[in-house]
Amino acid sequence: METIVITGVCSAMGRLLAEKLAQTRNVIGIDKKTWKGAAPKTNFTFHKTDIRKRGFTNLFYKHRKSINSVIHLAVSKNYTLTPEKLHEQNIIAARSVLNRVMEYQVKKFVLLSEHSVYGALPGNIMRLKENSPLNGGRIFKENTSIVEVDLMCTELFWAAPEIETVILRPVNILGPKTRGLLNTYLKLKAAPSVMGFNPMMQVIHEDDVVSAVEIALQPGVKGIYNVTGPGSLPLPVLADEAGLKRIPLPAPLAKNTIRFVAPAIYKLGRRLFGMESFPFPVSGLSYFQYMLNIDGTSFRTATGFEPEKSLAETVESIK
Amino acid sequence: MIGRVIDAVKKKIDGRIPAEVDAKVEQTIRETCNEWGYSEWGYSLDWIKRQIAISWFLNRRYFRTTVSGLSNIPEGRFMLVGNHSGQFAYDGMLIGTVMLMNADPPRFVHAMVGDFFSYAPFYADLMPRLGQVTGAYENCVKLLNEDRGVMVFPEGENAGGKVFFDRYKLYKFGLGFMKIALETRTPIVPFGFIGGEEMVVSFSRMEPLAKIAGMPYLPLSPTGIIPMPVKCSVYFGNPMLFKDDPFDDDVVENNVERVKSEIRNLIDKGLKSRKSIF
Repeated sequence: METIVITGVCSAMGRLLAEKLAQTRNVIGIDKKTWKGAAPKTNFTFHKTDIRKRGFTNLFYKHRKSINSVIHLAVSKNYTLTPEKLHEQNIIAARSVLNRVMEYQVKKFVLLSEHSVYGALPGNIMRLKENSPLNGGRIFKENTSIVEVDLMCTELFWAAPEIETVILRPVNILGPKTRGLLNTYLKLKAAPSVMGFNPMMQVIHEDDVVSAVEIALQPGVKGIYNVTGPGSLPLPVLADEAGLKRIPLPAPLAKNTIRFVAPAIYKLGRRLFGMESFPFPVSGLSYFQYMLNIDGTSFRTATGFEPEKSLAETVESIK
Repeated sequence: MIGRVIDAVKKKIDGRIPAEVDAKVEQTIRETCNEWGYSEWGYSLDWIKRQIAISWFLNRRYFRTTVSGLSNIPEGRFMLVGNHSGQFAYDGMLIGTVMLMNADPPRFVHAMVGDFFSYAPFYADLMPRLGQVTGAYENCVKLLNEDRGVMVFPEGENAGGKVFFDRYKLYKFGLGFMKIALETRTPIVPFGFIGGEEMVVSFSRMEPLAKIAGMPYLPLSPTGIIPMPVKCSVYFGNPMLFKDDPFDDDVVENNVERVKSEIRNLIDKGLKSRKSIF
């Protein structure tokens, strides 16, 4: 049976993947957080270790003969950390994983990146291809590390061409469990939005992303691919469907509300009612201001991937 | 508060959309929209109905637009190329309406607009809802490869703000549209639009002031943004299909001149047959 390593397995996407893949494969889950709740009963082992530390190297050495594939999910999008801290964490973690993958000649390496690496900019054209420049960090500073990890992994294509490397860049992931940028925003009760801007948002259901990763694990699949879902909708429609009350504010005011006012309210809420801290980065607001539309046809033609969930089902999942 | 007013206005317009407009819009673009009435390109069934309902009323009653040569529009992909006027792109609005309401079968055209508009709040929201697309080379190629119609003003957004003394002059044409037409084998339909220059009379472009506002020009006009009820006419020419190398700039330039002179002829023809401005 194949053995797969999933880094960052305690993330929502990691859990979904572990549950799905453990049905047919051996899954070794690695995360520095503790696994909470029920784990898949068979074919799954969890190791609590930091992938930047020795523990991870040892673990890899121990299982070096059986590991066939690595799925790298440990790219932190915890925007409550400072951009510098986030950058340091993500880059060192990716370096460590890439080194192990090359050292032990793992057959398959999959990185689940995201479409935000292209950046939402006012001059964007429709349907960006995979070879479009990665401008994700230009406005959205917290995103720089995600862009850099994506670029670091392309190193495998020339440094270790025998490894089948797949980089997936899915559009906004919606679903009851995952915590993407749009998903987090839509799950708030009320939030500021930028007045006078309502770009179309491409969406995909989390289950479809799981099946896209499963397809990427098939032997022979190799390359950088955009993954698109069943369609796109403008932000107000999504907000209405999700029951989010938008408060349209002029751009500078919206930014400052997210930067100062909202965290203060949340801080008070945490003291009084034990609410979670405010998870939304200011510069991420550019995604709700300018258009970002990517082209997923090359993944579909190369692998025959089709999203199973319709647009209505995808939108239904955030209610 | 503002949202409620906008919703009330929307509802009022929605209640008064003529059945003809409703049917024609449904017939042309329903297929490309999802169950919420939005297409991937961002245009919305409801917004287009509202806009066409208003501009069709203006077309018939206010501007009394006459059209000739509509039978020249070929099936499948096409590119409308013409003179720009009207200060606030009223010409594009009227031609788009003519293509949808007067042509048989109705055709929906995507106007290519300057990327300045994607920075401007409200307009950045409205622009894609009405089927307008940022005028980038790749966008235009993608639209034409889907066998859609596009409308291009090769003089650029600057030419929309011609002052009254420059009326019906043609500025320098860009070459991009011809390269795209050659690459995608698209027939070009030249047109001349008469009436746009007298609609909103501008005596100055007030460029220093416009620069502060972040706009290409700001017309100094006695009527403000409100157009005068001039009589408009549109003349469509014969479709021109070129089959040259898109990378040979000399040939491209030559072809552009041919299109430009065709447009010049159409404008002259229109001006000659016009009896009165109003």
